Amino acid sequence: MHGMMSYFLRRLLMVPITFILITLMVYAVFRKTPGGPIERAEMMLRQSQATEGGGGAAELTGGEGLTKEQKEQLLKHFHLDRSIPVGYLIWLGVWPNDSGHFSGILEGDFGRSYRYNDPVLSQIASKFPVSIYFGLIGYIASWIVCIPLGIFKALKHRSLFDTGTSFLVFLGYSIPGFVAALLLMLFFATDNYGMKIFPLGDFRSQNWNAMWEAGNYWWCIKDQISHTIIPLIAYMMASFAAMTILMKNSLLDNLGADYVRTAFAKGLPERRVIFLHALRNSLIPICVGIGNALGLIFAGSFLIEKTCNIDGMGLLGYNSLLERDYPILLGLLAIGVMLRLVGNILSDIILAWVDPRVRFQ
Amino acid sequence: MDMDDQRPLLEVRDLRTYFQVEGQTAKAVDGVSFDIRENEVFGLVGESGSGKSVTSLSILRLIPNPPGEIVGGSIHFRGTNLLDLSWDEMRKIRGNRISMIFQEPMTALNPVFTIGFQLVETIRLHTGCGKEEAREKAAEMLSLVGIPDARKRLDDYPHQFSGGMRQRAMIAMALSLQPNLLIADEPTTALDVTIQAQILDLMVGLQKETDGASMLLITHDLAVVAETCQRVAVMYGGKIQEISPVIPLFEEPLHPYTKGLLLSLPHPDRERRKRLPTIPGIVPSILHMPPGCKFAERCPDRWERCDREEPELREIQPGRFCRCHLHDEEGA
Amino acid sequence: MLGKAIYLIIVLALGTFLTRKVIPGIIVRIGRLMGFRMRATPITKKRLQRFKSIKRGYWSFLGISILFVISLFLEVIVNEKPLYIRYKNHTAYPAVRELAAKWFPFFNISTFTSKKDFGQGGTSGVDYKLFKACLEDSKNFDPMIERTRKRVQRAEKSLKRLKPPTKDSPKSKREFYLAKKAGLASRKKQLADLLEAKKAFEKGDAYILETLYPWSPSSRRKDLGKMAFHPPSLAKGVPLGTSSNGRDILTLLLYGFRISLSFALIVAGVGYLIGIIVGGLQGYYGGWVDILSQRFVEVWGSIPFLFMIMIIASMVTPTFLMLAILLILLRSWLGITFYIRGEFYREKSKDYVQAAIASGVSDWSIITKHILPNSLVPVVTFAPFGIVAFISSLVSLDFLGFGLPTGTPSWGSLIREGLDNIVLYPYLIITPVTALCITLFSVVMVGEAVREAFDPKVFSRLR
Repeated sequence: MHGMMSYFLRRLLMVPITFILITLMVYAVFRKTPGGPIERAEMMLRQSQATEGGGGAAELTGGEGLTKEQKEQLLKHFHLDRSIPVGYLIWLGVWPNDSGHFSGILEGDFGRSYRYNDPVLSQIASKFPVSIYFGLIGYIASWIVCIPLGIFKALKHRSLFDTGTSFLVFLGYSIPGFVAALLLMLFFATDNYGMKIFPLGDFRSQNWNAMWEAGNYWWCIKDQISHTIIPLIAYMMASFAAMTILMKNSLLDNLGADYVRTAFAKGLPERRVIFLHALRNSLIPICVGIGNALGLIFAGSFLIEKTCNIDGMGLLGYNSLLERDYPILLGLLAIGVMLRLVGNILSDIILAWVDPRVRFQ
Repeated sequence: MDMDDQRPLLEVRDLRTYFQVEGQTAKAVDGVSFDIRENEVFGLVGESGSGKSVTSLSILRLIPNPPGEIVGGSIHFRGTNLLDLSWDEMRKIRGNRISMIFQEPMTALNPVFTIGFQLVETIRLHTGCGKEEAREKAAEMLSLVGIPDARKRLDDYPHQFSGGMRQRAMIAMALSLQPNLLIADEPTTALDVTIQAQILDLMVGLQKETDGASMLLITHDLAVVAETCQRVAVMYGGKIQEISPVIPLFEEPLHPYTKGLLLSLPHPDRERRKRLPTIPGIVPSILHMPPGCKFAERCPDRWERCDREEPELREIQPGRFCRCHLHDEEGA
Repeated sequence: MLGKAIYLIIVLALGTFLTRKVIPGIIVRIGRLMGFRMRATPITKKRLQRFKSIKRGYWSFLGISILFVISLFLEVIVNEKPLYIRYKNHTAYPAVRELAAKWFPFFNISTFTSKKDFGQGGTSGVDYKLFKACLEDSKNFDPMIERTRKRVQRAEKSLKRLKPPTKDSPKSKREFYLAKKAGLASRKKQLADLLEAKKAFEKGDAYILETLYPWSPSSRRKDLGKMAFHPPSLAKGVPLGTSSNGRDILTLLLYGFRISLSFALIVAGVGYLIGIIVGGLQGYYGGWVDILSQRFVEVWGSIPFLFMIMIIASMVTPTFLMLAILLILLRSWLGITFYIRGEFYREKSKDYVQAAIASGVSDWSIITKHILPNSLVPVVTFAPFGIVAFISSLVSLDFLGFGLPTGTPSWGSLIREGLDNIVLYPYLIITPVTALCITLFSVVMVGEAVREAFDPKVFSRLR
């Protein structure tokens, strides 16, 4: 047990190191990309300093999509007048900024969004629940579908049922989630084929909040569900095929294991051998996937939220990309990295918990 | 076949277990017959691929299907044909009346459950006793097989046991319900040499202590047979080639294959420097068995009849059976 | 019609021949040059046989690879420029030149053909569709001739109104007059050329050989009129309709197929090569190299790569190559290192490798002769699924608008157009999505067959 604790402590220690490495890299990319916005802004800065003596009349406009204010904010936010390491440390919040304060992402100050002029963190926090809502429900739903399906496929290996569902599984694997959402919307959310059952995108109807306050709870619930189904299926597609196949193969492997033969030789009934002995072992790889799903939720949200017009983190990121709202982008990136790192550790913890053989060194 | 008035504990008659391998039929066990008497240690000897393991698994009907299937014969255990039983009835026999120990102690136990859980599970299944009682019994069995501090070790997982200790735990599990027949499929092969002897001693000792328990010991090691068994069957190519009490077998083997096996054993009287003789050739592929005697290709005493027709298993001397044309000649 | 059918058969036959005979031969030869033993071991043979016996996977593999090989020559199959055009003694091979320009971008091969060389009058590029129409019916010359005649008349009139300058006239006036005169002469010449061309066309002194499907993804379907969206219609000759800017979707899909698949192949190929090298070094040398680089792989892998690429793409418009490099660096080499490292580690500890090391065989030949062939199994089984992932990545990036530059034929941007017009033009979603799904599904089938061939799942049940 002692070894385990120190292993996880070491893993936890890796988090800040990884985080710093990645954000430093991203910061450097931001500042050094040839022709990137920062370089352009830096050039402007230098030019305006050079022409200052000459009356500073050079009115520099242009520079794809960046307004003058954005550029100024960019300069301020990334501390371009400093060297890269110092600028990074200020941005991180361990070096005093121009006004002598420590204010960086470690203090929770991710800067302000250009577009909304709101603190980045509160922007992200307001969108977070929507993404988590879909990510979580999607993941749970795929557990509910995939695990029984995988078990059944393993027990009926090479039967008609197995071949038939395999076809579905591979079809699912070859349709990206957002494409599935698009197709479902085309068929079931437009009038093209006379099957308009669901609304065309959005998280909720516009008047949802008003209806909720008016006490129309039943209407609200129905509305929410009808808005949820298409994106939910799209989210499930991401893990549906992989999880079903993993479950099936894992159970098949375990059904052929020696300990299953021992269990039968002891006279245990078939149900107990399959559903206790073999299943317990074959669920291990599935459980380990829980941690990685955290990162997937973040990645999947971009495409599906854009397709279904759901106002979550992904759409925020997409719009920020269009508006070149760099503080929000860096903030989202930092959170994305954190989610992945935490997910990795979560996977390790779950693995240690479900598999007694695992002892990390 | 049996000389005693008493009916043998287990009568295997003309057992056939075939496997379907890539569209072909592999006759892993092809017409095997033998008896195991009450309170007897019966050895089943053969090279790997001779069908001895499949024979033992067939007794408990543990043949994976697909690809394998018991296609014929009968296995009478105390008068009932095991092959006629329903799965539910078969389950009541497994672990309770006939139990089994496997070759690989490393993988034979479920890695995610404690030793105690797996022992208690077996005991409760067949006796229906309470949890505490079963745990008591499990601890008792563990200390009986020589695991120190047994009560505490019940909560250990299999990976916390060494190979030898795991095999001891398997023995404890197999013997916990005082079965009438214990099948041990190469129980010591995967273990260190020093541990092998200990485990063998333990098994023979326990067999002697418990009344009426018989044992089917499957091994490729004739030395193990000499030490532990009363009677022995030699298998080759899915068929029994010779059945004999142990002492006459070692003194005067009837089948050329048995002779070869015995010659390849190290012997204290023999000259040190001489290389041990080996049986030339390899075991024929289970898919392409010769039509005549299965051993003909490697047999030093082969003659043309051996390739043509397969000899019958005949009683050559009282209690000694052999499948070889050489003895036909003598009889005729 | 018959000509087109023969054309199609020749294309398919040549594609099949290249895919099944020529390319494998080249690969084997390159492999030998690099010091690999290219003869299949019995195990490999058995695996190949098992793969071939899984029909749906094998046929998918053949289908996809033949289609891809054919698509490498798409410029001479689907192109609005003709394969061959002749007028009197002028000949040109515009489509062939375009193919050559694509394959050898450094030679600056021009595909330009001037109107005046091909009896159309003027200096801009030849209107091949008009050329074809005139060939079929020389009456199509008439509007052109009429237009030019009017111009000649207008030029004559304006010249008449001008007084011919005398010697005393200012220089500018003189020059203006001369220019006008020259203009009239060239108009007249143009008219004469056209009339002559009409006669020549009638006589059959001109010829054009069009490609199989004579439309390009880079320009509008002008023959369909001004409207942009044309739903699929076989009668009008647009089997899959046109996109929002009037381009032919069939050509977009075909060229998009080539781009998507070659992108995925490059990303997977180069990525796996790097992955094999890194994983091999880790597994072969072990120690600190191993520990440090594994940490690095772990850190590197926790970057949300699509987001990162999108951020970079929002700063600089990425090219095909840049996107490929980004995806290679950020993703494709990572997954495989772990497996290759494991394989190297296992193989290296085996006796035969130790014996080879002890007898002084060089590291390189130990790796290529002994370890690598055995370590390639995970690469082969992963590659199809990697290709699926990279095609989807490119489609996703294009869909969000942070992928290939606008104007590049790409499935992702077509799907995006579909989303934007979901209510009015459903065919814009259905065609690209179907193409995408069929392609990915076939690749998945190949992957599943490869996995089944290399690592068949044994199923046995006890009761």
